[in-house]
Amino acid sequence: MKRLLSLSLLLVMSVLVSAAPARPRPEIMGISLDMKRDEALVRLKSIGSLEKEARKRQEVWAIKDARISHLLVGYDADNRVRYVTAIARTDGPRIRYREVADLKSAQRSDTSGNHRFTWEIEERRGQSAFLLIARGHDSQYLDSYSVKKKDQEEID
Amino acid sequence: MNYAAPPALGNSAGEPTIGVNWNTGAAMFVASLQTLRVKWDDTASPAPATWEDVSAPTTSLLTTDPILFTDSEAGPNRTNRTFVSQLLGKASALAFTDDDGASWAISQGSGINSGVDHQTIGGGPYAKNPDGTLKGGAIQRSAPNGQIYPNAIYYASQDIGLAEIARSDDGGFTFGVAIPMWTLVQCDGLHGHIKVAPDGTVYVPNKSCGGKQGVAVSEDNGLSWTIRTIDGSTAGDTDPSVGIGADGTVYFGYADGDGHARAAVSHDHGATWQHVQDVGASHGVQNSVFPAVIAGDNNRAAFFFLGSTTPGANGRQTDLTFPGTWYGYIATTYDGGITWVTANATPNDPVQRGVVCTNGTSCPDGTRNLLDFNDLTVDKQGRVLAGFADGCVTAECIRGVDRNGDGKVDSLDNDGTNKATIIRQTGGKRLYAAFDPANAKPEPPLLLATRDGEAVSLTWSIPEDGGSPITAYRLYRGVEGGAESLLSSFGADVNSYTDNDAASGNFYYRVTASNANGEGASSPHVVPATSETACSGLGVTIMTDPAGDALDQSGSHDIRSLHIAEPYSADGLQKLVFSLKMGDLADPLTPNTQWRVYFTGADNNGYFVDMRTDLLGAVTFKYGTYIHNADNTAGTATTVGNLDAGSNYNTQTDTITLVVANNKIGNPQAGGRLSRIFVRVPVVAVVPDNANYGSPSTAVGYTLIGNAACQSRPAAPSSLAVTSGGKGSATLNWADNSNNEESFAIERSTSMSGGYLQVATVAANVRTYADNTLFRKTTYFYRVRAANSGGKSGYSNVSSVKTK
Repeated sequence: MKRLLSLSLLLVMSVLVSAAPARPRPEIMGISLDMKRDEALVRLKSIGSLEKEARKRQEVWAIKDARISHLLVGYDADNRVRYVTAIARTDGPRIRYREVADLKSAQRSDTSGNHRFTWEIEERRGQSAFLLIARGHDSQYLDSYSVKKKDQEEID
Repeated sequence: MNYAAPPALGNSAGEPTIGVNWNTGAAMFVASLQTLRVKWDDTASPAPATWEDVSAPTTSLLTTDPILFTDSEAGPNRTNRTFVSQLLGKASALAFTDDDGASWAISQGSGINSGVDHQTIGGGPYAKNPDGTLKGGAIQRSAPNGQIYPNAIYYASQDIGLAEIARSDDGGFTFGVAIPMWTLVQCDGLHGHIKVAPDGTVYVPNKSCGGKQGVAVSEDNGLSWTIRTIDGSTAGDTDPSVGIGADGTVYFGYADGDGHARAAVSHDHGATWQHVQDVGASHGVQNSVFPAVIAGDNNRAAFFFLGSTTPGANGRQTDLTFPGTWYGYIATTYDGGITWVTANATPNDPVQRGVVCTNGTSCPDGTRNLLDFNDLTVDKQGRVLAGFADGCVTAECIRGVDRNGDGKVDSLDNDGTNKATIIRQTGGKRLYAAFDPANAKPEPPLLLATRDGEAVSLTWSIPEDGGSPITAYRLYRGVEGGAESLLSSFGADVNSYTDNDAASGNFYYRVTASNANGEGASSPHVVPATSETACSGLGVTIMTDPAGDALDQSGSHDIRSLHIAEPYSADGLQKLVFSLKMGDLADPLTPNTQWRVYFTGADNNGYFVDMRTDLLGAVTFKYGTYIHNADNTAGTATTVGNLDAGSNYNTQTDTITLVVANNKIGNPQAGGRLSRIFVRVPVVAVVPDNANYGSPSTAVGYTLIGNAACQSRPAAPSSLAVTSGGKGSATLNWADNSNNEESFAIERSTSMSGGYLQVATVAANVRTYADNTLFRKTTYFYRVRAANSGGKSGYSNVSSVKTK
């Protein structure tokens, strides 16, 4: 029994470790950077409902997911996804920073009660450079995380 | 008192911010890439202003958003350090100065590395624990010069669905990690300006949090944030604003969802709000944008906003046909927000004609000239200073001329400028009671009169009240050289009147204000501007002077009126035409006499133009410079040279015409203003008559429209026909009916009745355009009009097409 528990624990740990992608991907829940808005809408409608639109082609989607409550999606002038931000639920299973990407390769900054991990992913094989940012008040669990194109800004 | 920047400065001042150095009294004003320093000489009344460009090299190159903050708004340690930030991609070019721009230090820029937008800077005391340590674990750090800066400086911005804020603990050299204040789930991304209370509480207002106006509050130096909303409010279009009294009383000013300007007050860091009220109601304001609030003593605050009495959310959006006019209003409370007194601070000079578009980058061309906000601050003596961009600066726009002849005054008749302008308080109670002025009679109001047929519309400003509230206005009407009578008296809340019985005479008007100390001095005589235009005839009447008041009773020396014109000149030369009407200009002219017009140029230097005779009576026309005496009257005059062709005199019409090229008088441009205009007629050593002399009012002036604006507008094109081209394209053809157009503008809509947006312009004499940016199988409507420097023509017929 004891050996079985140990094996189970090992299995769980391996799953968690493998949940952290070796290389961060420019997408959250199937919404990828540079994705056409029409394609993004199909995916978003399948996992949630539009809660509101905000200025500058931004949308707030309520998501049917145990760990993520909302996706915030911004589009550029060509109607392609320029950023995705996921808002984590605080009333259910939490998301650890390490599930987003390998913490060893992140820039980390901490201010009392606020934590931020940033991954800068360079351009590779046609994939534009992008940033992955995870942030939260807890040292283990994040409040939100985002992917955004590195050199694209939407200004007003 | 309103101060526009001189012609060379502040010509791109959308969404300005302003601060005041309490030690020097200088205002710091950011107008896009220019950081301007404004100083006043308060030994004179009204105080003349001096504007200077003191931009830091690193903040005068590129920007997508400018912001300025002077650390003087919250005690006890007012450092008066001014920060200027220019948004650059995901970073910020930030510099700061401790000597009003004489020297600058370079900052790291911001603490936010996730991309930035709509940034704001604020600062003030740290919040402290009872034991004196800083809340939230904040630790002050030495700046590179080894000094400890006493206040926290904050930098906030928004992007990727979050609004974040970073704190600097070394006076702005470096910033810490960015901390989220809210996400788009909670509030709109854009936010108002950061304000810090004397107890260190930090406030960042937001126009839409859960459908209400709200404010993010941090009581631990920015480490954690709570969203607090104002019950009864609804989400608005422009950023709200917070002002904080000395005891921490929070005054929240906002443009509510229905467009009305409202204020609310909190004594518990925004947890609860009271005294919610419509501060524009007394003036019938139905629409407001750009609220800005500042507070002083516990119970004193001011609230600046742009307001229009024309209702409709379309006035804040993209409707080019919105017919409203926007003015700058300042509401003030002296009892903790229980009551507010509101004044139109730009009563004779609208800030904008037509729509003030708040839809960001999707606004039609020319409607977002003011950008997103204005600002308000207070100086050490409690004077309120409002910084704003003026979108309506030419005489035609100010008068409300229907330039394109479409039967209404709207966005298409607006100037679309964004001229840096400051409203500086001159009268009334201050925000600090210790500096309330002593009791005196009110100053003269500024009076504007416009004739429309048999009726004359009169409006007057609220003058300095001498420290005692204005109780009444008295309006007088008379005929120069004839009788004068009291036309009517008004209460303190009335600033306009229409004289419907003005057909029978060439009347002048004047107005006075009264308070408990008596009736104040009168405004100058004002003759209604009867369809006057600077483009033709004598031009615009600048002043009139009583008949028969020349000391020597000579009609040749009896000044009657002065006019200025700027007729169109095909040669492109910029010139002004001064016309001086005399009582009875007789030949031969009196020897050794000058008929001289003095004025302060747009460059703030003194000039004169004149006709003069020598000892033998020979006539010449000259111009020159003069230096103000201490009393602002003429001092030392120096003749420079001859006036231009066209200068002459006519004894039949009793008119002296003085033509001067603009480059001889400081080269004023359209929008520039000549002020303190006065006239003297010295005969040898005697001066039989003056006009506006002795203490020349700055109100007696003229704002240039530019000779080019007087070019006649082109005729409207006609016979517009649109045909479908290839997939998603259409071809337009029209008839060119003018010979002086400079371009044609093509406008398109998917609705025949409205929603037209300009999609292209083509050069003069072009009569066709191919639109290849269309959706397929969609019906589009088009119209075309011509334009030149004199204005725009009417529209052609509307023609439609359904694309393939």
